[in-house]
Amino acid sequence: MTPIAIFMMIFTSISVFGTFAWSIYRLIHMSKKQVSEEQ
Amino acid sequence: MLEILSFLIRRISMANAKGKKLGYSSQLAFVVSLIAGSVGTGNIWRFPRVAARNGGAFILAYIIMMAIVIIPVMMGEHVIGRLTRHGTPGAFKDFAGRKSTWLGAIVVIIMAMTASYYSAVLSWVVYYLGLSFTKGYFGVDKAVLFSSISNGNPMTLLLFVFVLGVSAFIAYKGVSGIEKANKIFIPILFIALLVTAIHSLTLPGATKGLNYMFDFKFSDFLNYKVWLEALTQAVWSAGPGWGLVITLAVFSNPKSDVALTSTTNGLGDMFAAVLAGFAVIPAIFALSPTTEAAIAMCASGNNGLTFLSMTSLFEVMPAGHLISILFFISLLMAGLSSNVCHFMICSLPFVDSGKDRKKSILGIFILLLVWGAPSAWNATFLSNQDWVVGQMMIIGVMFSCYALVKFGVRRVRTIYLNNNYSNLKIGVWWEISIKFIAPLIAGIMFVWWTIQCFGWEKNWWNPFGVNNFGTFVFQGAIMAIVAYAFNNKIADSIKNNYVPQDGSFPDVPVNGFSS
Repeated sequence: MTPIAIFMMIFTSISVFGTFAWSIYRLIHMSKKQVSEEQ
Repeated sequence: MLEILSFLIRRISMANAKGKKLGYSSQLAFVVSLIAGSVGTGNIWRFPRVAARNGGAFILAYIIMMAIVIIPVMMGEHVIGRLTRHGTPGAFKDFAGRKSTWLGAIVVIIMAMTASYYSAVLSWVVYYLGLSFTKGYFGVDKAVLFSSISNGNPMTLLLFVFVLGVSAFIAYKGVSGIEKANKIFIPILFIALLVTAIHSLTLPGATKGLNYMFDFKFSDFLNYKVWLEALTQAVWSAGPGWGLVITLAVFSNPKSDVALTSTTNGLGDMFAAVLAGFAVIPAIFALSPTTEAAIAMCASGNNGLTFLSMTSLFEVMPAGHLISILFFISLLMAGLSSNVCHFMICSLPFVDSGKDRKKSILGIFILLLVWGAPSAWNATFLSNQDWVVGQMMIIGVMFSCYALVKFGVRRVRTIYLNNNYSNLKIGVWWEISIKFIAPLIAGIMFVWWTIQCFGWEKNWWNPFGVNNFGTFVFQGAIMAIVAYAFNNKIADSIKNNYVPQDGSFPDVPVNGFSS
């Protein structure tokens, strides 16, 4: 693989998989907060 | 990823166990439903082949398009659905004014058309899944086999009725039915994709495919065609303008973050697409005799890639028989979860008008049976419907932007997107995107595809052509005329207006689908 292809693969993986995992984490955090507030 | 999935399922199950409430049992359940609706066959068969053809420049352009056009539009649609608590006609009526009801009605017609032929495509997938179990397509001419399955095959017709019936049954169960179904569909989809991707990446020569998928050429990045391909992929895959987000948001918790939910939805769609890229492209390049043959395979169209090329690859791939089963299962799960949402989009407006849920679902089922049977029987008819729907969906994006601009983008952003429950604060950029960027780019994309279609068929004006301008104008005009003619009737039939005047979101209304 060319260096630029390796860079793009890492960039895509972080920007897509990483941000998706981050947003799921934020949602879980938000849900927990919401549940504790409702209780 | 597996940990996230299992946590997600646990959270949804815990929420369900706490007792029934209107709408989704939790915010996560809502997000999973949105992702399930967005992720469809387009992620699995379209993204990989377009990515392989255009390389890293396409992927970067796709990420940018999702960020500046698709996710902002989905945020706006989320507000429309959650604020009005109606299916698309009622949503457009309460959000953009009584005269705009017909725009929402057009969206419903487009989705009915989509569900009719999409169910036929899923019947092919079920057929191939069965053949994968029995190795039925091994050693036979793939083109002849596909032609016999997609044209005049009674078994395909039977499977079409089955797919339609399953989708109708799940939609009939309402939001809780969709949640339960997605608890099965989504984990299976992602696990099947993940296993296929791992297997594909371990094949000798897989890096050749990765190189094609990710190699970045600056000249490609400056090529407008790459950007239009990226936008097309983003629109046809994620689902803005389909009424999907508007409809599913009707049942969402009024005290949750709109922006974060919509962003997660968009990212989930991208996640599935890129994962499918890892599953499909390395395998194509590893197993094709030459690089040219692999590129030709990626250029062979959705049906060509999935039912001709991939099946040829599975035949020579180590453990190809099992991977074939996983591939078609993932395709079926992605398609079925979207199809259930299509049913919901078509049925909810009738429930909004005071009709019985059971009768609404049954009516839509019969309509789709009649409308979709020609697609299940004849692949050319299906191709025609697919073309018309593709163009109409781009117009659907403009409808959403129009409604948001009419209501006031500043009002939407400051009152509804950035409220007390927001974790993600949205800046003025969102207003610019909805007011200028999204409609402009959707307009350019519409014109580009329209210009392209002039070269596909000699008689471009023929209203009964397959993929030409004439058939799009003819069918689009019928949809518009019917929807416009019934504007007042539809508007009058939707009595309730739930929009509060204090800037808050209303609670989930009691209707056939909300519990």
